[in-house]
Amino acid sequence: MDVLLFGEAQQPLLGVYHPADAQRDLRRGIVFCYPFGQEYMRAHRAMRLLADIVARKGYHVFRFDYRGTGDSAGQLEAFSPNDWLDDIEAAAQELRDIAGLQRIGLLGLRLGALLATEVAARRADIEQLLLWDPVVSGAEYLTELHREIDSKTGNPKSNFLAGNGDLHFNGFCLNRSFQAKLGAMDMVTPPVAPATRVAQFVSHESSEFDRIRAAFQERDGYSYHLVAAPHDWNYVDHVGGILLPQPIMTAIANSL
Amino acid sequence: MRERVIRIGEPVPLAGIMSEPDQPAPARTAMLLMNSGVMHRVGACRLSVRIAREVCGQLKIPTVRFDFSGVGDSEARHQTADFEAAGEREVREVMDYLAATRGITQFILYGLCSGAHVACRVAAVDPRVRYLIQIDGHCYATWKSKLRHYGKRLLSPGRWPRALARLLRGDRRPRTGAEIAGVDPNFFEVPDFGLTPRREEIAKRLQGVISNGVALYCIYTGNDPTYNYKNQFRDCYHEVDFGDRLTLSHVPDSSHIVPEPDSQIAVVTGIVDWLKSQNVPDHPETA
Repeated sequence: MDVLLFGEAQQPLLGVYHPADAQRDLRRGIVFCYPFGQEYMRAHRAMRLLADIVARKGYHVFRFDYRGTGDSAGQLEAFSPNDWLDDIEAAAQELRDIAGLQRIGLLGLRLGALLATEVAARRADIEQLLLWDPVVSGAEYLTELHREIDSKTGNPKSNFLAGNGDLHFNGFCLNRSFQAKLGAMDMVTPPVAPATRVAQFVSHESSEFDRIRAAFQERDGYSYHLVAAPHDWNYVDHVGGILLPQPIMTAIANSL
Repeated sequence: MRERVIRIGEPVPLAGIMSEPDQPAPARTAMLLMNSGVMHRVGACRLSVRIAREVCGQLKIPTVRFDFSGVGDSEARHQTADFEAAGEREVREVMDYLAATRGITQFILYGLCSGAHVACRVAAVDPRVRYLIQIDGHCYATWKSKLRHYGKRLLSPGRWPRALARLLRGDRRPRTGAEIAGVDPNFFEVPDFGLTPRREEIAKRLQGVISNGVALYCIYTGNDPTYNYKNQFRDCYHEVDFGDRLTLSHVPDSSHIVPEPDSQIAVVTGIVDWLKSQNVPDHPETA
């Protein structure tokens, strides 16, 4: 595991490279696309452990923080999900350069899956797309957050809609411009290249997951995996606990 | 300000990010930021990143946020020490690294919760630590805090029927982190803090901190309802002669992991302003 900074010198991104097990090197790479906000905090360890497992199976893995998140440069408020699409492409290029690879796939968890799909639609060279409990539409994701705020079950001082339209949720802020751009993203809209294999891993059933399944099931190489596992990433507790949903992590690793 | 990745120690290095001023001047002091529990080095709600960048940007003090072994992006090391003992050893390892590579001789330690516990432990025994910043470090109820806490409950008329109903139903309050979060404990990871130390043990540790000449800034959030007035820390450790070396801050509207935007501003500003008042050597931006 190698922690590094990459991308533009004025605005570096934090990346972590997990080289493939030398005995099993398949000459393939996977870029991990994190979820957003508190979900990122809760998922970091699971993504790191999954990266280790996948690297042992012979894949080169690259994890990274989007601009304005984690250890990458900048404040969240300065960026939009569209900037993060560029960051995913930069991360894919970094992995190609580090490991000398041609064949790259993307694995996205929650919002990371939506972003990964957008990138896979931009490019013809993404060989596989692994979608883990994907946020299927940005608009639905925002509705989910609004619903939580309106239900007043959370902390009203951290979860609220500010007068200027900023949406604060569990310690992270989505400004109006971010929300507008996210709201326009929908997983079934962008035409993912036919050669890209799509695998969907879901920890529970939902109508949104069914919508992707319906849109993608005619594709060659599409697979759907329902593996019951904990999946509520966007919560806050006072103990700073994190999720490690082993069954679904194992299913993803075994599918490779 | 610029940042670089640092790797500390062999054969299993600790991963860290160092923030340095654009034009670094010879500095004797650096700030180290610890993990909180199992959260990686960016800190709950990215708080450690904000603090590290503000302290470096405004005060030109280099900062290092790093992962203890087995946490975040640091590999696990084979060791039998408990979390705090291993943490203490690793903080000193980072201090040794900065002394050897940057000539840093004095340190500011920052931690939230378990990070605060480790930071306090190091500050009590290592004379290189000059400043200690704790959020929700060890503190215990005092007679005054109990009176305020239980008094309010006793005088609340709506509380009695609810308490009685709970008693009759045999309800039990959730105890473990997994129970509180409502998650199957098999798929949930929380730090194991071990046993809560005795108050006297922490008082002795704090006396060591003060005897070493360390200046101490303690912030308490609204996490623990039995911490309910600003000077409770001083009352709790009444036998420790803090003199003028202790500054207390109480942010009752803040949760433990500080997700509230107003609380985040209050905490970060409070830390920067406190350091500004401390006359940190070689940093004219302070005092």
